[in-house]
Amino acid sequence: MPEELYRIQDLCLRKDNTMLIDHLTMYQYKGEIIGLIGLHDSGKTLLSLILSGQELPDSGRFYYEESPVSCQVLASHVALVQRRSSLIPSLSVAENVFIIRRHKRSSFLMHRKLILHEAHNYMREMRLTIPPHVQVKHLTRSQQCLVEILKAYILGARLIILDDIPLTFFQDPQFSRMYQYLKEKKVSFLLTSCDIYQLQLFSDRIYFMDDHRIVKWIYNEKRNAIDISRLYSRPLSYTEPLSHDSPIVAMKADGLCYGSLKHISFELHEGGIVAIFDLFRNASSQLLDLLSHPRNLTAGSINVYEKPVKGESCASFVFAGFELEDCIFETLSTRDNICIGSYKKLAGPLGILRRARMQYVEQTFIKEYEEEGFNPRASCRNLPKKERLAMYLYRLELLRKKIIFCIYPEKYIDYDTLHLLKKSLQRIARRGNTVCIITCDFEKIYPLAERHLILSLDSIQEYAGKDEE
Amino acid sequence: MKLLSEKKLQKLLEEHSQKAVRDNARYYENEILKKQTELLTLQNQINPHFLYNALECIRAQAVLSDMREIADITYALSNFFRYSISMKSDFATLNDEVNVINNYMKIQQYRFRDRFCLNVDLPEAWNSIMDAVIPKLTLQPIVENSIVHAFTESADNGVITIEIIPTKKHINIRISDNGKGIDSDTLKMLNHSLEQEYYVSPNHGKRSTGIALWNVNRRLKLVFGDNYGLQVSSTPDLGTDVEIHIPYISVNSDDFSQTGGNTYA
Repeated sequence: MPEELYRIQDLCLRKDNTMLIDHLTMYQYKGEIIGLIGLHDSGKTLLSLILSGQELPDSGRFYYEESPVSCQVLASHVALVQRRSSLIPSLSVAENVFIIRRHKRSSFLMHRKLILHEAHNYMREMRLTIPPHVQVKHLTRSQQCLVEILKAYILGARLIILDDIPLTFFQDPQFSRMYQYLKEKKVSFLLTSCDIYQLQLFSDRIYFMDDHRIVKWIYNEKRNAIDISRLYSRPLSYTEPLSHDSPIVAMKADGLCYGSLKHISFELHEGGIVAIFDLFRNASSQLLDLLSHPRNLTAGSINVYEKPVKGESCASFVFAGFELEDCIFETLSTRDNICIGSYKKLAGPLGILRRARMQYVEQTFIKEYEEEGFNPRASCRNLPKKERLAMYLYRLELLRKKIIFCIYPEKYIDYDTLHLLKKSLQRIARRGNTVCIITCDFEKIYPLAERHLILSLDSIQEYAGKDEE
Repeated sequence: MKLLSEKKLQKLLEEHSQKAVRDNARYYENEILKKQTELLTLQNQINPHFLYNALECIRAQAVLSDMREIADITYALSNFFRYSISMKSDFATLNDEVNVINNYMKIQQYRFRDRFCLNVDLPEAWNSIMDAVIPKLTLQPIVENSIVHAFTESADNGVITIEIIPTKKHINIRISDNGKGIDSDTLKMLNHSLEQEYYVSPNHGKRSTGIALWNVNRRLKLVFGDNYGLQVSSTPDLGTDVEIHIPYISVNSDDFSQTGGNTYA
């Protein structure tokens, strides 16, 4: 008889008048491995965050071992392992595993030999070959992932969520051994991914998420193989409106060669939002290098509004990095933080800043983001993430450059800020500028763009998933 | 002291006698209604017996004529009516429900010439949960829905699967079909209508859909409480799943005998 580990019923989460989780109901048995599949913006990661207690839902009922509990109680049995490692690189494996438990020890000082011994025992039990004394920074990402799972198990997690972990890691024989071991110990796994074929290798059941709720679940059996591929290839509903697909070419890159990049050709249209996905994380840095220093081009050409770009940099480009901690000056006011890049434009003939102009800019900013309820601030200390992002984007907008390259925005944005970023980029595009997002995160960034290009070292291809619908 | 005039006394007496006449009329009306109800009940009891007997005759004749198929279908039909018409209780056991579904499917398969089949996936611990209490005719409307809606366009190869998974305290029943499925918007509206206390047509009254599911869900909630009920999930072209979540209460348990099968909410 299977034992139910948890059940969630009618889970809802709404943000900015958008249902991010819409009456979701699901359950999992002890020792069961569930694959959770869904395309971008379907709510997988958010569900993981709710289960692990990092997001609070608006409503929903939670059961742990068939008894009603609060969301927090359920979360205390859940561990979340994400793509980015949460281990401390400078510490050893054993220290990483046990350091968090220091508060449970009666003595202040740790017995180094003892924790090494304990870690070694666990490793042996799970038949892992990672030496406990090695520093985490010397491990591969898949080994780090194993250590994180081990740590979660030792800390008492009954459900381990592997959120968007590259499933190639699982092909490591150590993984399958660990899986088997933990399954026997009745630890359950929830794997979120957008790769159905990988999930098929590891899951007992697969839940399909679409439109912020579960649309179906199936047993992962061979007889389902055809059905799965049908479901996966089914064009999931996109509600993104296709706006201003202007035929005017703002930028044309033709046969670009630079470093390992070979024959990259693409076009950006005026008023469009394009995302270039570097899914293998090996080509975008070189492309960015090239765009910021077009002179280094080995072969090919870059044209902006049919004019070739040959200089050290292109005056029509602006590059928006998303290291926002460094971009907003805490001691300055909202007004100064917005206008800081455009002082020249806002100053009079003698270089004296015109207060009225700056005030006007600030008022326009407040009005643009009226829904968010931002207020003028004398200093920007402890600024909410959303406001920080809005100010930064508005500052870029004031520069009035024709093409804005947003570089790895996924580093900063979350579900709270995604909507704001989308609105801002749409406004920028509506004004006739071109937005090009360069990113490695397909899932998060997909909804922001109208066109999607997949970049590799020797090609760039338009992603046609949306047109199939 | 107040003195009554003759006129007033007359009036009072008249009022009194009229009231007595009215009361009498009401009493007799009630009595007549009662008798009529009793008669109707008796008639209702006679009708099924007449039906069962007729079906038994047909079955016997079919057996005598070596028409096995007709005999089986008649037997299934008779059993199905016996279960659905009998007014003894609103509750049944899970075993009864599964049996009635088997009978119902036998009839439908005969009618539709095996265009679809039924798989009932019973758990290993079936013997220990087959006495679980479930409102009568919980599964049949769902299976009927699958037949009516899911396989309308498909010629054959329809499969309806009923899977019963017991846990420590609960029972999950999943009824799935591989039919045409439900589109995203209708599904959303259907699930929304299931949450309502009163039936709201998912397609704004254009066509009465989902009332059977709403009815089953409402009964489950009234009997077991708001935490229980059913949920529908579906994907176009791949089929529909209806999942029922109920507590495990044995028909022999004290809880059930004490409440007389009323509610557990």
